[in-house]
Amino acid sequence: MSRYVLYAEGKSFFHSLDPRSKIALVVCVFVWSSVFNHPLYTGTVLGAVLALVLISGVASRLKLFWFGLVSLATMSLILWPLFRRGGENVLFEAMGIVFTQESVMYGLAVAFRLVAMVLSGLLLLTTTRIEDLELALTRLGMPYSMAFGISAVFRFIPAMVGDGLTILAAQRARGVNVVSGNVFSRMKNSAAIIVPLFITTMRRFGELPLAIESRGFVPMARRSYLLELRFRARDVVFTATVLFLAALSIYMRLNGYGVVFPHVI
Amino acid sequence: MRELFSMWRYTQMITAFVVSAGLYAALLFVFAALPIWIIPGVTAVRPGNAIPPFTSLIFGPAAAWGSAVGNLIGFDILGGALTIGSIGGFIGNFFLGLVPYKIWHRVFREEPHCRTLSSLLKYEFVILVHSGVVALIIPYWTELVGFLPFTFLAFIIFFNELISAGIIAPVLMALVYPRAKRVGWLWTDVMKGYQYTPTQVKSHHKLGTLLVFIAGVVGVWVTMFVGVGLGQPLMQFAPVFAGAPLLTVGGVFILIFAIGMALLSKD
Repeated sequence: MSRYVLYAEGKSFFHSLDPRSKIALVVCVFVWSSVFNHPLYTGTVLGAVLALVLISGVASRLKLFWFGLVSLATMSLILWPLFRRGGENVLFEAMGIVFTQESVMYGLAVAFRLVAMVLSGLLLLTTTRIEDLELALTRLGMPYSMAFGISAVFRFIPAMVGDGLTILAAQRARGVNVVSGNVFSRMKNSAAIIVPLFITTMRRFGELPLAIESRGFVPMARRSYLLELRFRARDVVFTATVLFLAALSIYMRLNGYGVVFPHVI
Repeated sequence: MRELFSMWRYTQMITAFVVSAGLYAALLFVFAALPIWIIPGVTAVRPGNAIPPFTSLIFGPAAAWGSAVGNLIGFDILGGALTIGSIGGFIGNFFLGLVPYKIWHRVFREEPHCRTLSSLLKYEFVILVHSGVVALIIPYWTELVGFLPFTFLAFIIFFNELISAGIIAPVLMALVYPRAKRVGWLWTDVMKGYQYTPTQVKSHHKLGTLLVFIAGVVGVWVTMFVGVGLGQPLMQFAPVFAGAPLLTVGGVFILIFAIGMALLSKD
């Protein structure tokens, strides 16, 4: 279960913020890291996000993701110098491709940018309960039926994954091989997992509409909520600060700060 | 395209959305134990990719939203890949679930049971088009926002989607479609007033399908070629591998795709 639920109970400052303030932070991290393409600037953004992760006490919750994050950063470091050509300071030439200091710095900046973005999203999810997030999304204007559907997906994923793993074990016991062989045979054999999972899921959810309607679910009706969100003074200060910094970062970029390549994001 | 919004008025369609998204996300997890990574954190050969074209023809608009949200939750959020690239992922996966049912219920009179050669070929055509569309949209976004280069990602997504969906989805349809039809799981069984297959194929729907095909299949390859420097002198561009030339050419094909979808949406 814990693999599918990222939320970690805690009493940190970040835990206590309204989910809307945390969503504002994620959006602003995306803005801060996207407007600059110099590694010093995107590295600063990454440093700030890492500090928030450590202060919130959720770093251990993210241990499953570190390998993916390092891989993502490495791919960026390799790919962007190949595709984002330009710059005057040649570092070396290999197989007719000129690698410049600027293109390598751009790759490093994008690597920092990507890791900062991923970590900010994970920070939101590790410090916010799904039901609070659902309520925040409706408060931000998402139709209730859509927010309900999204939170239902989060809730039902453990059951669906459990069914899937049971079917996978049962089919492998019957000799279905989805582990080895070429890509085509693995693809073909995986249908033996997907079809029973779909049928099981439809059986499980066949009565869901009746169950939720009998409890008063009307898709487009106005609703009241048991949970309450309070946007307190600390949320106002926090949100105003991150929004100000986002505006400042855009102003800086427009004035030529924080760029290796001025004409690209 | 009204059905994309009116579906939220039906509890059964909301359930179909939960199933589409949950199944897509869950399969990403089930097969995560046997990963075939292509770009870590970005894309892998995923049997779950067969789900959108399959659920699309069963659940219609619910599958479009379901594919978008399923990928967002299963891959971006729980998989630790939530970045600005996820916006493109959301839009691309939305069309992954939208294009198959939209084309089918506008231009093909035969049912998608994949039990005859003509039904199978039509379904493979739909899969080819939807693979091209997603391979155009997601990498275009990642190139635009400086996340990953178009050419590299488009090539991988196109074949990843085509192989996964092209092999598995027809098997799923052949096994599940007759049962789904019998028990009333099809989206037109819930949303009355829509036809699952057309009684008459209109010329603007044919043109719309052609434009979506040109944008998705031809467009993605032309843009990839531009991305490796081919043809750029013809367009008076300096020989660069990313940026303005690629975004210009890709943008033209995205415009063609938008016109095609608009024609398909018109009654």
